[in-house]
Amino acid sequence: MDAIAPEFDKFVARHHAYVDETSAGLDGLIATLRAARDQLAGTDQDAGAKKAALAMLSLDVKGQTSKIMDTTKDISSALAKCGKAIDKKFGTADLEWNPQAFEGKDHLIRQLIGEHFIREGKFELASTFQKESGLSAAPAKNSQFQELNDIIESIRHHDLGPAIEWAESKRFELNRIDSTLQFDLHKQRYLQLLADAGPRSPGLMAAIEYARKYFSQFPACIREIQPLMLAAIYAGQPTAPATYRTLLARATSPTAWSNLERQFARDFCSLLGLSPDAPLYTAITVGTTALPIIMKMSTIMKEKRNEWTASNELPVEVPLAPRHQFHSVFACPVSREQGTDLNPPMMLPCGHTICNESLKRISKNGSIRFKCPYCPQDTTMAQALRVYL
Amino acid sequence: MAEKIKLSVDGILALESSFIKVPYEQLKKANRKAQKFTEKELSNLASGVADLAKGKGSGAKDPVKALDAMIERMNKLKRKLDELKAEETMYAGKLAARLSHLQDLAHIRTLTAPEFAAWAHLRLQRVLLDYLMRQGFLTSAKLLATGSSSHSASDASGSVMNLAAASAAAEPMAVDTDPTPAPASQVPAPHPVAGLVQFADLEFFTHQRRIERALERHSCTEALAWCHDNKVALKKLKSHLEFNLRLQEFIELARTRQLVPALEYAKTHLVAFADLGHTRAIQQAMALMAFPPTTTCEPYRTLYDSDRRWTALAAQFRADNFALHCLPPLSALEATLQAGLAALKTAQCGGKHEDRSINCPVCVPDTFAVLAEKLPLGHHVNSCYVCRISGEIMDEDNPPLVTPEGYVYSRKAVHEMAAKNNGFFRCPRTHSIFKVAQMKKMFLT
Ligand SMILES: [Zn+2]
Ligand SMILES: [Zn+2]
Ligand SMILES: [Zn+2]
Repeated sequence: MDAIAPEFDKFVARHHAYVDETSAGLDGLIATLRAARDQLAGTDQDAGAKKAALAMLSLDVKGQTSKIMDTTKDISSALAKCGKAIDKKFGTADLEWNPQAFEGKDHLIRQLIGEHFIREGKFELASTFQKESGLSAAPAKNSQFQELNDIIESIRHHDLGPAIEWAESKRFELNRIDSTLQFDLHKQRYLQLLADAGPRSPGLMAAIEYARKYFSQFPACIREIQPLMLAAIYAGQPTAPATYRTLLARATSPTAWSNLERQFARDFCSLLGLSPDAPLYTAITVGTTALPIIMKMSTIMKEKRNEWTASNELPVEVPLAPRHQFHSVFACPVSREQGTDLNPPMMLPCGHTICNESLKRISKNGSIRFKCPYCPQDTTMAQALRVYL
Repeated sequence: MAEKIKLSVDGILALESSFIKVPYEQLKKANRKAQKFTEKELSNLASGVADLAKGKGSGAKDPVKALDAMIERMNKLKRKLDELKAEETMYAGKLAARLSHLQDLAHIRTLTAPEFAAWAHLRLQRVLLDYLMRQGFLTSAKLLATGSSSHSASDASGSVMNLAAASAAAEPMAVDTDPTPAPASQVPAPHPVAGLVQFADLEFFTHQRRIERALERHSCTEALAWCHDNKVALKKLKSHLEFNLRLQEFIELARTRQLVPALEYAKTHLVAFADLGHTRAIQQAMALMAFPPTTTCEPYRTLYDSDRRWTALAAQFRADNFALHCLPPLSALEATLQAGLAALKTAQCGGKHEDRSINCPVCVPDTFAVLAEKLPLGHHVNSCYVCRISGEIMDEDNPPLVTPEGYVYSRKAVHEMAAKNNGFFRCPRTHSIFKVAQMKKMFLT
C-alpha cells in the first residue's frame, strides 16, 4: 500500500494538469487554425502571402500538437507506474478452498441476503431484491427492525429522544434483564446538555433541571450520579481535572456514542430474543480475518498434495474475538484433542479437566490410582466427573 | 481479560485484488482510448496542414474549406476528450476511495478495535454489492449503492446493530482512557455507506451484462468489439474467445446455407487463427459447409448445436472478463462466508436446542446452518468456556463452577441466580436445584 499511494498521488496531481493543459492546448490549436483560416479567406492577400501563412501554420501546428502529445504520453506513463505498483501488491486472488461447500445452495444465499436487508431495515431494497432474484417468498417484514434502525439512526445523529422514549416504554422489560440502558441514555443526554451549555448559566440550569427530573428515578446509580453532578461545575472549562474533562468529553466522543449505539441494539434485540449483530455481519466479519489464514493453509496443503477440506476440522486455528465465541470448546491439555460426545471432558476431583481418552490412558483403563498431570493430587478414574460445558 | 488479537492486515489485503484492479483497468482503458484518439487526430492534423503548405493533397484546391474541416475535427476531439477525461476522473475517484478504505485497515491494530467493526461493516456492504452485481441483480445493486429509496436514504449509513459493533462489553471504559477526547466541534460519526457508490463497479457489470445479453440474442458484434478493445490483454491470457466468436459467426452463415459469404468470412476472419493452434477447428468449420444443419454426423451436429455453443460463449466471455480484472470466479461474499462459518462452527452448532446459541450464525436453522453443513469445524488449540446463562466468556475473574451433575456455568451467573433464590441455584439444563456451596470450581486449562 505504501508504494501505491505516492504513485497514485502523483498520477492524480498530473491528471489535473493534464486535463487543463490538453484543454488549453486544443483551444490554442483551434484558435491558430481559425486565425489562419480567416487570413486565407481574406481577399486582400496575394498567393505568395497565403503560401507563407500556410507554411507558418504548418510549423505552428507541429509545435503545438507535439506539445499536447507530450502531455498525453506523460499522463499515460504516470498511470503505468501506478499500475506497476498495484500489480506488485495485488496479484490474482484465489478465494477458493472448499469449492463444493455451497454447491446447489445459491437460493439459500439469496434468502439470507433478503433477510439481512430486512434485518437492517432496508425494506424497499429487500422487496426489490426479492423480485429481481426470484426469491419465492419475500422475507417477512418486521416493523421492529424498522423501529430499531430508525432509533439507531437518530442516535447516530446524536439525537437521543427516540431512544429515551423507547426505553421508557420498555422500562419493565429492561429492568428484568438488568439493563442500565435507560440510565445510560439519560446520562448521555445530560452530558450533551452540559456540553451545549458550556459555562453559561441558563444552559447549565437546564442541564441540572434535567438531572433533577430524571436521575432521581435511579437511586441505585447514586455512585455514578455524584460525579456527574459535580461535572456541571467544570462544564466548558478547559482547566477542569482530568476525570471531569473525560467525563464531559463523552458528549462528543465517537467511542462513547458507538458504545451507546451498540448497547441499545443489544438490549433491543435481547428483548426480542435476537442476537445484537446481524448473523451475516458476524459471519462475514469473522470470515474477513479467517479467509486469509485458511487460504494460506490451503495453499501449503495443496503444495504438499494433502487433501484436507474433506476432514472434519480446519487444520489451523482462526483466532476469534471474545464476542464471536458463542459455544464452549474443550481442548484437552494432555492430548490437544477437542472434546466430543464420544470423548468428553472429565473433571478430576482436584478441578483439572482432561479428555476421557487421556484419562483412560493415564489410569490404565481405571486399573490404577494416578497423579493428576497438573497438580500433585492423586485419584482414580471412577472419581472423575463427566462435565457438560 | 481477552488478550488483544493482532490483525493480519497484509493477509486481508491480499484478497482484495479485484477491488483495486477493476477501477484501475477501467481507468487505464479510458486513458488509452484518449491517448490513441489524440495521437491519431493530431498526427492527421499535422500532416494535413503540412500537405496544405506544400500545396499537396485533396485540400489544396480550397485550403479554407480544408481548414474548416480540420477545425471541426479538433472540436470533435475536444468534446470526445472531455468525455474521456470525465470518465478517467470518475475511475480515479473510485480508486482513491478504495485505496484509502484499504489504507484505513493499516491503522487498526486489533480484532476487537471498534474501528475494525466499522471497517468490517463497510466491507460487508461492498461484498454484498459485488455479489448482487455478479449475479446480475443490477437494480438491487444500484439501490444498495445509492441508498436512494426514502427509507434507505435515512439508513444510508447502514446497519445499525453492526456498525456500532464496537465491543462495548469488552471495553466499557474505553472513553475514559481516551487520552485525546474529540473537541466538541467535530462529530465524526462514521457514515461508511456514503462512500458505497465509489465501491460499486456498476459500469463494469452493466457493460458485461450488455455483452452477455447480446450473446444471448445470438449476436457476436458486441463481444467482438470487446475483444478488439482488450486485444493485448486477451493475447497474454491466451484466450480463445475471439476465435470462437468468429467461428460462431461462420457457423451461423453455414446454418443459413449462405455458402459464398461463409467462404469469404472464413478467408478474412478464420484463416488468421490457423497459426494459433486452431487449424483443426478451421478444417472442421470448412467441412461444415458440406453438411446441412440437420446433420446427425459428428462433430458437425455439435457445431450446429446452437444453445450449447451460445451459452458456452457467454460463459467464456464472462470468465475472460473476470480474469482480465483479477475477479476471482468465486464471489468474495461466498468465500468469506465459507471461511467465517467454518471458523465459527462447533460440534454443538445446530444440535440439540439447548446447545444452540441465538448469537451464533451457524446455529441459524434453514439458512446458515444448511450452508455450513459441508464445512469443517473450527480448530481450537485452547479451551474456551462460554456461560450458558449469561453468554459471557469464563475466565479468571469469572471462573466456571460445576454442579454435582457436571454442568458448567459462570460464577457470576450462578451467584446472581442464587442471590434471587435464597442461595439456591437451579440448573437450566437438568432443572436440579443445588446450594452454591455444592458447586465446585473448575480450573481453566
Ligand atoms: Zn486428551
Ligand atoms: Zn489437578
Ligand atoms: Zn453455533
